[in-house]
Amino acid sequence: MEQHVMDLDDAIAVLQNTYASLESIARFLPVDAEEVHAALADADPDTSEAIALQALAKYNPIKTKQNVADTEHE
Amino acid sequence: MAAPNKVLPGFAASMWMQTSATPTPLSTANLSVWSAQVATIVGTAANGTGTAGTQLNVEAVPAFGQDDAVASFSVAGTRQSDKIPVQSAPTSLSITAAWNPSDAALLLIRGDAYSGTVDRTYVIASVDGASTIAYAFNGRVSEFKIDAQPGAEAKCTFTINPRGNQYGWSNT
Repeated sequence: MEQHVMDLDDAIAVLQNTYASLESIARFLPVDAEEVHAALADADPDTSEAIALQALAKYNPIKTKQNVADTEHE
Repeated sequence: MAAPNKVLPGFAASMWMQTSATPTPLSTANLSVWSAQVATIVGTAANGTGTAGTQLNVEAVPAFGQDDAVASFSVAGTRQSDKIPVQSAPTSLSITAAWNPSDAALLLIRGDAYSGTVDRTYVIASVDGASTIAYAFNGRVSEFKIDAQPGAEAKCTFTINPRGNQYGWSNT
């Protein structure tokens, strides 16, 4: 089943403005992992955008062919 | 910028707080951002800009971090000795300062304590030359007391209670 993916800018805005734990919010935001990592690579590290992207990247690792195959065999 | 690679005893620590009686504390993400965020609270003496902050003149910067927290479990009435680490609450900061009734920062602290609901961003800055490591957190103040015994200079004591998860590290 295709998973709904949230617009990355919206997800970043949620994390930039929250007073809650970034970990607990980022864990449940459905974003595209490759988009997150690409944006993180370009982000200035001393910005709230980068902090938000770091939290998203933690819970949205890029799936390599190897770990996708591992998942399918489980 | 990468954090400086130095042993901590070479740093001087100072404590800073947002000004305004009704401050808007930094969001969780911004507590980790030095430029235009944490730097506005930290004064120029600690390499910030200080446009939205003032120094809190404390006797000593208190220990900060976490309290101990474990959950002990028992199963079906039997005692189990495991202590499972769980997320620890942030430790409260008990602070002593010389009581100057005209000190703007202490007056804000006193007002926050009497309100009990004011969230404010505080920063502990460790400075060595042009390098600053900042620990920023949001907190509320309680237990503001004045000790005016005649044998010593008047002191005030208060406790800053950090809000859960609202902290961040940044550096110049």
